[in-house]
Amino acid sequence: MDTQLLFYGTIILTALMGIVLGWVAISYRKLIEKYDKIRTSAQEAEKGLEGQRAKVLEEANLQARQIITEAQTRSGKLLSEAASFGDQTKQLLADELQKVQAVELGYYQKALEDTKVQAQASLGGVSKDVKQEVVRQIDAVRTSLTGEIQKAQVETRQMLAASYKKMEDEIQVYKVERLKRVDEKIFEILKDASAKAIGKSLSLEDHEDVVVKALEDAKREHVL
Amino acid sequence: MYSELNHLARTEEERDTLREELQALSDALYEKQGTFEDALAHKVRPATAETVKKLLAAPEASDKAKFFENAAKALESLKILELTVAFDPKGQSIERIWQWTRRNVGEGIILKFTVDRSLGAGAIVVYQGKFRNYSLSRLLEDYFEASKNSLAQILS
Repeated sequence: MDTQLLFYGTIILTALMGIVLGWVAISYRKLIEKYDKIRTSAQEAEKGLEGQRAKVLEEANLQARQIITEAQTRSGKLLSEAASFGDQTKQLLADELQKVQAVELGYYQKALEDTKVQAQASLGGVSKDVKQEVVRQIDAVRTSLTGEIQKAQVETRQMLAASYKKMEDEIQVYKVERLKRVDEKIFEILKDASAKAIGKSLSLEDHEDVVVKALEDAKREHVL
Repeated sequence: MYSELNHLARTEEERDTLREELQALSDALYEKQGTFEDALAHKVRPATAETVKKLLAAPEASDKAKFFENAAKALESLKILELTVAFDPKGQSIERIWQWTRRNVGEGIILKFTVDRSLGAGAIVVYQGKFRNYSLSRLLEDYFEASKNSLAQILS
């Protein structure tokens, strides 16, 4: 049963495939024919285009020649007109220049005014900023200076105290030294005064006695 | 024989004077007759004239020129004892000190006095390079140095 089904199915499928193949073959043939037609029309169109292109080129050449000829004619005319450029033209040009200058001057003045206003505004702002900055800096410096001054005061006080102590010590040493010198001076004065007083109180004979006594001492000490 | 000249030259000043006198007498030897006697009579001190006459009378002084030459050399060879004293010594004082020196130190010494009243009394002795201060001033200096502390207490 199954085999029959398979047989008939295969036959049906084969038939279907034949139909499909037939349809494909017919379609392919039509397509080839269409292609041939298109190719033929394209070749014809190309031939027409080449003819048109040649024609256009010829027209362009012609127009170019005409343009060059016309340009040469105009340039010659312009050159001749330029040679006859007169005073009237110069006057007109000067007037136009003055007008332009006046207009430019007006623009410049306005620009200057605007700049001035802007500068004042900017400077005012700058001045304000600078003022604030300066005040801030001054405050900072003042704070710093206050600290430094206090520090300096403390250091100065300490230095003064140390100097005072050193000076006191030196004065004390000096005092002792001076007193010592004064004592020595007093003794020297006492000695001189005593010597002179005794010397004056001695008679000539006493002086002789003392000198002879000195000579005796000198002999005893082997100076003589 | 020249030691007697030392009596006429006890100090340096006297030696200078005696040197000038001997020079004058020596110069007179070479002048006209009688000049030497005249010089002895008028140009030198009487003590000098007397001593010179006495010395010239000796036999060894027959050559007067030689005598004066040697006398000058003898004067220059005298030793000097320098004494700084506190008074101005004159005749008698000089004689006493010089006699003591002559007796205790020896002949041929002359004294050279310098006066410094700040010494008070005594003398500074300088002899043949040796020096010693025997003045009252130095004694007082020693005393004040030794008694400095006690004196300072009294003064304060």
